[in-house]
Amino acid sequence: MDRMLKEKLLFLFFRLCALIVVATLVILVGYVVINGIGVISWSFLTEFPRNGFTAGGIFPAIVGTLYLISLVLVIAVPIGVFTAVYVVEYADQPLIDLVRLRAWMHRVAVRLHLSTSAASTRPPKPKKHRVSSWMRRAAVRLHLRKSAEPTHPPKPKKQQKRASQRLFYRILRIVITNLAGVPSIVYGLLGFGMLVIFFHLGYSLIASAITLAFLVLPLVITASREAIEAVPYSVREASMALGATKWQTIRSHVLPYSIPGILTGVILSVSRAAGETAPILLTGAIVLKQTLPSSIFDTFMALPYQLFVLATQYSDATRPMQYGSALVLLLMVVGLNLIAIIIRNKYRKKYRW
Amino acid sequence: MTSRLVFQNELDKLNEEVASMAGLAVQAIETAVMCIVDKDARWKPEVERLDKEIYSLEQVIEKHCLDVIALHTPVASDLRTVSTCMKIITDLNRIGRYASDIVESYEVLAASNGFSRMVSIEHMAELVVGMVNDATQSFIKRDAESARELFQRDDEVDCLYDTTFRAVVTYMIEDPRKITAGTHIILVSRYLERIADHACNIGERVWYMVMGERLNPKDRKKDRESCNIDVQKEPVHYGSSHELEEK
Amino acid sequence: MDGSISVSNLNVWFETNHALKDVNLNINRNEITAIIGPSGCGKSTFIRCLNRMNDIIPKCRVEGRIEVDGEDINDKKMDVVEVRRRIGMVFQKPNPFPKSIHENIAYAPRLHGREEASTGKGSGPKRKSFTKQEIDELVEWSLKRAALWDEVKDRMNKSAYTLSGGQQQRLCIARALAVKPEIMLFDEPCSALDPIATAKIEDLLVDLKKDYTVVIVTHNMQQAARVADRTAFFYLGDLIEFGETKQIFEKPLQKLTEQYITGRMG
Repeated sequence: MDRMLKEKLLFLFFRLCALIVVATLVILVGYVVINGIGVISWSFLTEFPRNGFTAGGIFPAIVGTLYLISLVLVIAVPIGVFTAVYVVEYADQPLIDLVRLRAWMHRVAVRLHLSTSAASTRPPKPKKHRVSSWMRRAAVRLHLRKSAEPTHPPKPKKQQKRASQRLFYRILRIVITNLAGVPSIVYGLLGFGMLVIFFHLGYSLIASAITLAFLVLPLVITASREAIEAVPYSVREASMALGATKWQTIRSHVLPYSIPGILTGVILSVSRAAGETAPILLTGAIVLKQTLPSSIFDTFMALPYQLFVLATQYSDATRPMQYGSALVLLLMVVGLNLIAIIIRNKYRKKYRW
Repeated sequence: MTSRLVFQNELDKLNEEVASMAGLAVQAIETAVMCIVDKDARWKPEVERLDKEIYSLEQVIEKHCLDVIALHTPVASDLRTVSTCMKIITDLNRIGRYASDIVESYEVLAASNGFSRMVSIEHMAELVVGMVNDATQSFIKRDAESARELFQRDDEVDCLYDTTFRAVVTYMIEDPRKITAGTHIILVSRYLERIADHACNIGERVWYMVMGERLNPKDRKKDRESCNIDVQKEPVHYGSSHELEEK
Repeated sequence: MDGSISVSNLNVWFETNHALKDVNLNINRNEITAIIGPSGCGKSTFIRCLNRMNDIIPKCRVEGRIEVDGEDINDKKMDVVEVRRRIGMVFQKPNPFPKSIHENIAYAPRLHGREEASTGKGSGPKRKSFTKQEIDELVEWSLKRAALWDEVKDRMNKSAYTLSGGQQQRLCIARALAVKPEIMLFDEPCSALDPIATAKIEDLLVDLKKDYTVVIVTHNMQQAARVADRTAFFYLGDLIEFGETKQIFEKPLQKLTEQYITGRMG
């Protein structure tokens, strides 16, 4: 009886946890819906804000968000999908021949080492040949390490290649995973420093779009990778045994069947991008603008940023607009997620391998 | 390391059954010879009983072989073993049959007045029993060489048969009262000669089972020319001269 | 086009594992050659060398000559795509593409185009693309040759996955036949099929041998005994014995072969 009691108690506890989660979501969504539903109307969605956000609508913010996510798609999807294709299909072939690179570096190190050990009475080298000291030290260390190594008989060429390929592949995977963990504010700062300032893009749609694209890239890559890996190896094998090249196989048999998975990843990343505030606030979003953005180099309004600004810096009179924006944003994100789920379910049934 | 334990058990059982059938066959002709030579009527029903047992055993073993082939699909040496068993039991069955045929002549020979032809029959019988025994042993021990030697002894048996045949015919011509007995003696020695042939067949099968190929035809050739025994003269290897006399 | 294969000093390594050790073998044209052996003996590795499918495996190293019609297919100058077109392969588990039956077979010929009046062996013959009618005829021919036409002719546009396992495997065979190879390789084609489907495929193999050279890897010795003209027995990467099937199954020369065939290995 004791065991049965424990079972029941545990079950109740798990149910309670689940209920808390559901309740939180319901309360959150409910709160926004209840407070925002009254504000929504056709004019709310199609008018510009007036009177310091106490009247009018949120049209420019909606448009700005839409422009933004389209640009993000255009940038992130090709890069993400083809990176995923590379990672899954081509990762056993080297991007850079690390072996030759290492050999070249070793030669450089030898020359540097010899030059440093020579007398320092030589005239100072002209500026463009100057090698920074850290590079020299690294080269010397490499040379010393190499000369201290016992001489192995040279491994067969293919084995050498494999070791360097594996290293690159491992680095790539680590990079992709870590990219996903970088805080969004850091992305914002990066975008600000690199795109807005360094590349002279200024506050613009394009700067925000590129920043957000980098933010969602890991999502796209991961989703695409899973979709591509889900295609069974036997299909690829069959295609190659018929005489197709690797790219022909990917184009005809892998990509078409990974598109649903890729699409799911894309939509999820878009919904994430739509809701991010930190990256866009440093790179291009502005509080109020009377016109719609005229080009990609123009500034824009966006829903998340507008919500943030209204909530922190404006009076309570703008509260209806705040809830309105929140509701629209929520609906947009939830709507996109739902579409992703529907697509995924539909295609899951179609391609049962 | 053993695998296919069930199959291996079946093969072992098959071997035992064939060996026991061979034992029965040997017993049958030994008993038949005792019956004829010692003129002892007690052995006749025994021989007939053995013959029946050999016959039913042949049917059992044949079915057993077919079961093994159907269920276990033997190949290579196992296949040769099973096919050899199937052929050998036919020969052993014939041997049993001939033993039974031999004792059928008992009444006639017992009634005849001590035909001394019996001595040559006895000698022949000794050889033939030896051959059947050796054939059986070569099967059990998988000894191909001793199987091959059987053919030389078969020549000897054939010679003996020829000699007996001619001698008895001569005596039948001389004294027509001896025709019945004489015919039976010829029959008995014929049966013994056929038994020897079957023993040779068994040897040939054993050779195939072990070596995987047929015996060289040259080894099988019967050398009848060496059997030049003049019927009038006394056959040297039979020892005493009075065996050709009638009582 | 001869269709005979001559393998000399073939060695295959998977990293440090020496998977095939100095294999020498001659496969005759228009014969079925079976490769048998216990698991892990290298028979799949061997057959995959014959159409250079081991190239896709990154950790694999192949050395030795494999001559098909006198040309070494392991030569670096040899076009792998051409090799795989001339030497077709059917795998263990039926793997049709998730497309319609018609598309499955039409895919490869469309890819390769049509050979112009052959200007010889190796790379070189110019390729033109097929017309739709030619493709349809080719698909029909392939399906007839694989003894599948009657069963699918009225559902050519249905997905290949609606077929049974045995039918799918025959579809894969038809697919491989569509590019008109000279040599067909089968890697345990019946191991995933029921006995009736297996029997159909075996009949098909015997029929195919009239026009193609067939090499089949099988772990079912009885299958090798039933269909093959010659049989090769591999054990732990070595070729132990190779000869006529009758001789291997009635009187094998090597003790290892005898042990394996009678089921007394391990």
